[in-house]
Amino acid sequence: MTHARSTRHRRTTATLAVALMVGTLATAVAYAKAFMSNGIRAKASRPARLVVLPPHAEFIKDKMIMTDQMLSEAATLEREAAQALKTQLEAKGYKVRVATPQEISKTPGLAAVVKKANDRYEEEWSKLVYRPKKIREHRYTVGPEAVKLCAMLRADGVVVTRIVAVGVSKGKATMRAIFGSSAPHSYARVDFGLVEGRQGFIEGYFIGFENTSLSQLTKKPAYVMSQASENALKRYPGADEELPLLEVTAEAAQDDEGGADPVGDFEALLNKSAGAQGQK
Amino acid sequence: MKHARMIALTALPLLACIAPARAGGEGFYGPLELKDSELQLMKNADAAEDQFVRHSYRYDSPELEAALKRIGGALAPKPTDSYIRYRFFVVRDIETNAFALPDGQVYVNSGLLAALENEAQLAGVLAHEVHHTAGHHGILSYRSARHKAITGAIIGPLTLGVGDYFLEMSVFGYSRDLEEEADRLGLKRMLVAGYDPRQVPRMLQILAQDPEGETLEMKASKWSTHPALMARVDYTQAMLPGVMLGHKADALKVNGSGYRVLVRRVSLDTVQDLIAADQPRTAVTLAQRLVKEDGGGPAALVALGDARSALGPVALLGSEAELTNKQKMKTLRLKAYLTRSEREATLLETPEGRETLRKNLDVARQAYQRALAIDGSIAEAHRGLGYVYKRAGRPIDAGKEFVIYLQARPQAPDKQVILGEMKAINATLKKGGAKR
Repeated sequence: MTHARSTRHRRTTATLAVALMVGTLATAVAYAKAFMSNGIRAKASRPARLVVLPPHAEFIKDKMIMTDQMLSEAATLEREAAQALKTQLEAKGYKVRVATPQEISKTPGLAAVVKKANDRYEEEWSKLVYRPKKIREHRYTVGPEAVKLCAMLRADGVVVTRIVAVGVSKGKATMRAIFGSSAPHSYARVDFGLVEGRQGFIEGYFIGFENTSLSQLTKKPAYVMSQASENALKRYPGADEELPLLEVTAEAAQDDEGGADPVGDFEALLNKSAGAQGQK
Repeated sequence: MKHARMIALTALPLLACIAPARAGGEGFYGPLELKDSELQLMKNADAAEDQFVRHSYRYDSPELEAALKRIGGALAPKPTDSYIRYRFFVVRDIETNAFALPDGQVYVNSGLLAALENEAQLAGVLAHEVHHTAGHHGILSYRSARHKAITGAIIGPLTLGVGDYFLEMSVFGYSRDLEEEADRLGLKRMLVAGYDPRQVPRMLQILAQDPEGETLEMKASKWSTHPALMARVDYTQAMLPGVMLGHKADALKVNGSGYRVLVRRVSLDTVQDLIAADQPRTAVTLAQRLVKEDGGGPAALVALGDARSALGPVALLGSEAELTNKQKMKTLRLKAYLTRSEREATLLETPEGRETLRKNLDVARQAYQRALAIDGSIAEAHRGLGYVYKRAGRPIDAGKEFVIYLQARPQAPDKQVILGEMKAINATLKKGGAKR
């Protein structure tokens, strides 16, 4: 009897351990999500020179008694997230720079283009979050605004980032745990879209979560943003991985060297067509 | 779960009692000492100035900001506290809106500047906003919300967040009473500064305009904090005889033509912003107005062409059926679900959609050609014609227009976009079959 009970106990423990492991793994998978276009998935095209636009952060604090410091703290999160994305994308082999607000406001006309591209991305983002897999088919596009922006920034693509940080104080979290409300914990979510600069398609959408605490969010924003960004970038392919052709970059380089001439090509085609008609 | 619902339902009447205790019926126009937490609020308000720059929201126009400073400065009551310092900015936003922060920052949207008809209407907007600051409306609302936050935090867990809902509802914007107060005092202040307050009801009517036909008709309910715009038109209209008593209306400033010259650039930019924001009907309305004001100037005609071209297969005016709340809801749902190209493709499946596209492109083409007849060097008209021809299935004509545009504007910011169009045209021509 004792033996049977002990075996049953061991089995139950093992089952629970497996369930816990599966649960933990499932949660870990849920903390990093990536959606990419067919081009990127097949490693056929990928913007190599990237510019990280100033991210937009929303800091939601849920405390017993509300204080109001979210604005400056959100600004810190934005700064740290941009830096973290730059560092980690560079580590993956891309050429990355952060477009600073100072640079944007100083370059004539750039602020307006950044705002339009951001607004357009926001419009697509509101659809994208519901059907992210459609990125594969290039369903979402920022359009000419992204092309203009990339041309002005001399980049192949831009990284448009949104951050949501939710800070729940220990007091409130305890009360919620007791009374059974949802989402009793603090977390940071970094999601970013990769927008290519030739036609403005959203080539990829990456999400990273990081469970954290209110005090970490306010006292160690660099650490939290670094972790969340790292999670978001987990499935972002490295530039050093096998690359048959960086189509976007190759085209850009060709244009920069004056190799591509659509106007000349057009005129040649017209002449050819006129010549053919003359012969008739 | 059943138990939890019972608790929530029991707590509802209690919360309903709290909600009407909103941010008071009137502001406070004397010196108001700040509490510690409010000092932080002020720091944050100050940081907002930087935030607007960092997110590229500010519209760069020293002339407009100087005008706002001049008009707003004449309307702002003398600051009662050291933390109030009036400064006026333009935000690049198509919405017809303006807002003020408790430390004296006043922001006017570019969309509102483009929509107003004269300086007196702008003075009406600024007079309203500076009274939100002067009356400490932001701080009083914050205090009221804070009281509710503490109460909500105590009983919130019992109500499973129902308290947050009520809190949000009462915190969203200033209370109806405070808005009315800012309107009333604003009218009086306009008179003191020499502006005609009779322009205020018209200004509110402009705010209520909806060429896009997407705004749902809402009646002001006892729960809504902002008075409905048409209600504001009515009560400001009713206030005017009392306000104007003893004043000569003829001596008051309106300045229509000077104002419209001042906002010409921002209006042209707003047409492009409206197009980018998928608000083509509003863009056409504004562009038509610019053409009228300008006597058919080329820049306004190009703007009209761009707006009409952006309409695509969408009719300029919504049908009666389209303007019902039910249909508007349906349109908004479609807009939320489908991308722009998907919606356009759906419309182009119908003969009506194709006919509307043809008409819109034709009107756009005429506008560009009129612009070129006035000023042959206006390259943007060639770009517009390029797009019109491209959509009309005339790639050769489109390519020719794009080439003229690129030759005239070799450093155009959209050069790469046009070169992309040229590549697509070349690909079509290589396949053969295009005659025009």
